Amino acid sequence: MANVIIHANAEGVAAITKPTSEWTGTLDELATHLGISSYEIVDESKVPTDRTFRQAWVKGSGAVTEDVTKSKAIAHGTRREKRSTEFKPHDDTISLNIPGTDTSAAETARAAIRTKYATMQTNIDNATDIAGIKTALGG
Amino acid sequence: MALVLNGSTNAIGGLAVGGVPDGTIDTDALAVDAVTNAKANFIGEVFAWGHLIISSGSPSFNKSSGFGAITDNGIGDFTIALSVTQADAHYICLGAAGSSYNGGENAMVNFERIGSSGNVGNNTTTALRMNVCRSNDGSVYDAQGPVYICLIHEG
Repeated sequence: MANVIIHANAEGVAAITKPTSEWTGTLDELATHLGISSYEIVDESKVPTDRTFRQAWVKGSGAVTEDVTKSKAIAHGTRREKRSTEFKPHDDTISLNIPGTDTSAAETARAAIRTKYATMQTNIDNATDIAGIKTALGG
Repeated sequence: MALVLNGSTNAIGGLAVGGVPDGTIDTDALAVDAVTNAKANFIGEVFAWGHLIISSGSPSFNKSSGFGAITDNGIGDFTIALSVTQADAHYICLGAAGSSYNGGENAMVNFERIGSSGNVGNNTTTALRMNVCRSNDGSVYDAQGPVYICLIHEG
């Protein structure tokens, strides 16, 4: 694979710079062109390919890695969004008291969703690596 | 200096600037791609364009012209390096992004914005900062469809 420039941006997230075929200079010259400092030039294979936890990518030594703590925070955000989406039709049934709908069934469904996502929350917290977090999310 | 015709090198020496009679150089006399953008000095012309793919790993251009590199700063947040340093940073940026899938979110392209912070990231003579974001709430994301960008010199 081709070489790329990796560095940590102002927010601590790993940034990856890839030249186009039009760039005729070196990667060091490209870094200067862009005002990038404290960078490394690595093979692109040293950069993750799954962008699920992209904001958790950090610049390590000679590679970009996924920070487990940051990935868990992202995973919890995803969990809350998924839970909210699943809750919505049942919330509507109850809050709007739509004639002909079974509010009792909606409550039962909500309870099942709460249990499902409580389990997911625990599994995310207990995960020790990125694969474990993705498994907890159902990915 | 007198005009010199060198029969060994097939070169003409001593020709003054503007010494070729008007109307004598036609299109066929120019080599393909001989007239660069810098030489043409177009006003209001496109000087860079690209078809960006974000889908996985590090984003890259499927096709482009006038761009030297792309920096992936994070979700939906990119710095695009120009291959030629511009005379100034006053150029027009146009962008469009495709929906990621049927029924998916529509995407918008913003320029001069830093994705995750929303702060201003001004265009420069060497690069520009752009975001791809959701049309409903403006949050940055990696649009799965193609992203097209086009830069035009201000007249």
